[in-house]
Amino acid sequence: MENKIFEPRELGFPESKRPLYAQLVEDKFSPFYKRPLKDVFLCAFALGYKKGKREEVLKRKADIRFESLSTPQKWLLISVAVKEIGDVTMLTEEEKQRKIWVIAEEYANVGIKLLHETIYQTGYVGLGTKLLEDELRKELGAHNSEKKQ
Amino acid sequence: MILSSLELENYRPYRGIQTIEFSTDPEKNFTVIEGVNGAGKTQLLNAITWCLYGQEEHFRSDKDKKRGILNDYVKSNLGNGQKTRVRVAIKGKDTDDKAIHFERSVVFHKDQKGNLYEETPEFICFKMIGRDMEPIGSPAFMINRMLPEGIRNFFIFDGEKLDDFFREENAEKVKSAISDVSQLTLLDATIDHLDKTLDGIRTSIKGQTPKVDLLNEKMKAFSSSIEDMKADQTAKEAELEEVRRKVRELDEKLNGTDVSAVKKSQAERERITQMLGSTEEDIELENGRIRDTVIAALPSLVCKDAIEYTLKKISEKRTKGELPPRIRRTFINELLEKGECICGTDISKDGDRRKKISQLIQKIDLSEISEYINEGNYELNSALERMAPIGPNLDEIGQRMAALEARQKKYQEQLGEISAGLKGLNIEEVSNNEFLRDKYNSQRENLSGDIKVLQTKIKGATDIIEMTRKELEGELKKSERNAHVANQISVGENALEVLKDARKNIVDKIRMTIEEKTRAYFLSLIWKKETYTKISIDENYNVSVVNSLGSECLGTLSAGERQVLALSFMAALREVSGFEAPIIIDTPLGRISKEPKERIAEMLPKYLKKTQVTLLVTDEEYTPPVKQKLSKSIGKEYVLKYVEKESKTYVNAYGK
Repeated sequence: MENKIFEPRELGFPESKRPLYAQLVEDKFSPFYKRPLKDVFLCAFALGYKKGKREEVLKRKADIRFESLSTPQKWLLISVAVKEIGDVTMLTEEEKQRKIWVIAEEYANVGIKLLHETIYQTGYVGLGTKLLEDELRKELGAHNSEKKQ
Repeated sequence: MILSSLELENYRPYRGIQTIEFSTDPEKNFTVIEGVNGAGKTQLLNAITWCLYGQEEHFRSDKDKKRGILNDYVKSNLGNGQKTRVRVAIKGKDTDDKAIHFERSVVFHKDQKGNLYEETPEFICFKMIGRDMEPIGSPAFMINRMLPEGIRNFFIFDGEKLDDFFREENAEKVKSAISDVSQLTLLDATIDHLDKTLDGIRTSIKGQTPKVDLLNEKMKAFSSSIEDMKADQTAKEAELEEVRRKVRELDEKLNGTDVSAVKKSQAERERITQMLGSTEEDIELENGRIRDTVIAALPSLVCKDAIEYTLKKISEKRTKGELPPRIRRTFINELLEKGECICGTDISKDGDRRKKISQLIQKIDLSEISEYINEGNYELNSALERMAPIGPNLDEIGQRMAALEARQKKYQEQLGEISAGLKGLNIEEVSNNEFLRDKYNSQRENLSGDIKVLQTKIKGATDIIEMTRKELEGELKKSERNAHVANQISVGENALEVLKDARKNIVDKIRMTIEEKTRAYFLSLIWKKETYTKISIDENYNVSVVNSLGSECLGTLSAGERQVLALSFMAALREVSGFEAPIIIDTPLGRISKEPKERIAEMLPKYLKKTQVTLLVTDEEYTPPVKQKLSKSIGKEYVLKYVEKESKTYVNAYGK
């Protein structure tokens, strides 16, 4: 692509949330076991967006290589920022381009706690995938009923 | 090191002096020592490790272990007030080709009342220096240089135990083997020393601020609890290993029974267990598919409204004619800079014409990133399209899972029925063994669960220590008085982190090299070359063997294939260790059926080319076809003959 918008080298999260990320990718019973951090980040981002809450990232730890994101994943983050700001012309201003990734990190900052809670809320190990699947099915249900209307 | 001879004097069944000379011919590098069970083969393994390391660890029964190293006959015929000795001498050549001689001996004497006393063993070493054999001051150091204790089990080992290596959960064994050959004693000692030094520094600031004290105490408490949990984990792992051994023993007993109903049940149990294992693997595979689908789909589904919103905005820009752009912004800027329109009109000065052209810029906002937006338009539309089949896909996987889970349940029930059948048999021994097997299996499950819980707790406590350490660092920095100490701790912790990283890097590199070499050896040794495609050792030291269909199949390898895998792993460890020491294997083909036995015999000389090898074999292993396959490589051959009434094993050259 000849003309691109600003892309950071990494995406990050607060140092204080590092244990949550670490547990999700290191725990054998987590659905994210041995998966890249970006997978955790994207799901956290989605849950934060669903909650409609953002939180500033303090003591940022830039641990997710931006290059590891696929093009559709990048555009997912962009589309949320477009909706937040209200227009695609925002993509022409560098300041707002930077804002896209800040928004993504802020949603993920709220979402990581929700994701962690979703997976570990029952206190039983090994149910994480089932609980995430339930979340997904809820979304599918909502979209299907939206279609029918 | 090359072994020339082994001399035994009154050592266990070897009464008097018995000598074995090893083949030192590089082309005929095998020495074969044959003997029936109980003839004293395994005791030769013990004699070697006792001489070199002062340890015996290869016993087939507790009875053998309790006997003591002094020959039974000599012991009972020793008169009051008399002395005797046990001596094992190993002669050979060091890596510099100089003769070397190790000898360990211990004197026994009986007092006038008939009590037997054992004196402190003596260990000596001589090496050819110039023209004379000179005593070496520190024989243990010499041994450690030639074949360190930590890795000797990869050179001197019991073939029957080898099969167990990959039979059950093997990660801990693999981890410890890799750690042994990594030879990181010095680095480990440095890490340990630095850890203790840091602990000392932290203690020295005790009493300076209440918060610092509190954090220090917290770290100490968690460190000590981690130590306790690790010790508990080690104990439970040993217990688990013991329980597994007992289950195997009971299986062997049940397999060995003469009752055909029991034999049939055991065969059926093995068949169903294998099918259950493969069903469970399939369930895991489907679970993986659900995980992949959910993790990939969740973000875009949740953000569907944002995707639709963005697409709508792009579409609006298209309707307004702003996309694709008719003119590029850079082009307009160039005209304004030049002060001349493409038609030649002067637009250098402010005026209506220049104003009109300037206004164009407002309408072509997106011109510079139009291609980028086109790409986004495509990607976001594709994301919407990908959402449609998610539900049906999940349903399809769900149906497959339900069928697999039903199959799993059926197998579990069948296993339960087999067990109930064996328990209900009117043969007390079988019934008791089955009850015991059941008991040990449930102990095994409990222990595995306990170990997993401990692992999670250790990880949690380690995370807390890490966070507390950071908090402590912050606290120390607050006070100027403590700044120097904080700096010391910070430098120490950084160094510790670097050392730990270096250690991890070294071990990871060695693990990967061993993985590569194990794979190469296994694929060259194994007869079903087309069946297996991959062997890997992951970062948690789990070994996996993948077949050509892409399925994990370590659990379904036959005893022969497992033995080849273990031999390949041992060979990789030996190669990586860099030590050139002789290999001595007791019962190398003991648990292997006829055909694979002959194949391994055929391949062993190729795989151990030019390495001095001693095989201690039973008559059942050393069949004529096996002998024939090895014949070209055999330099020396012996038969051990144990004469019970003399309590003595004779070492005879083969055929004499």
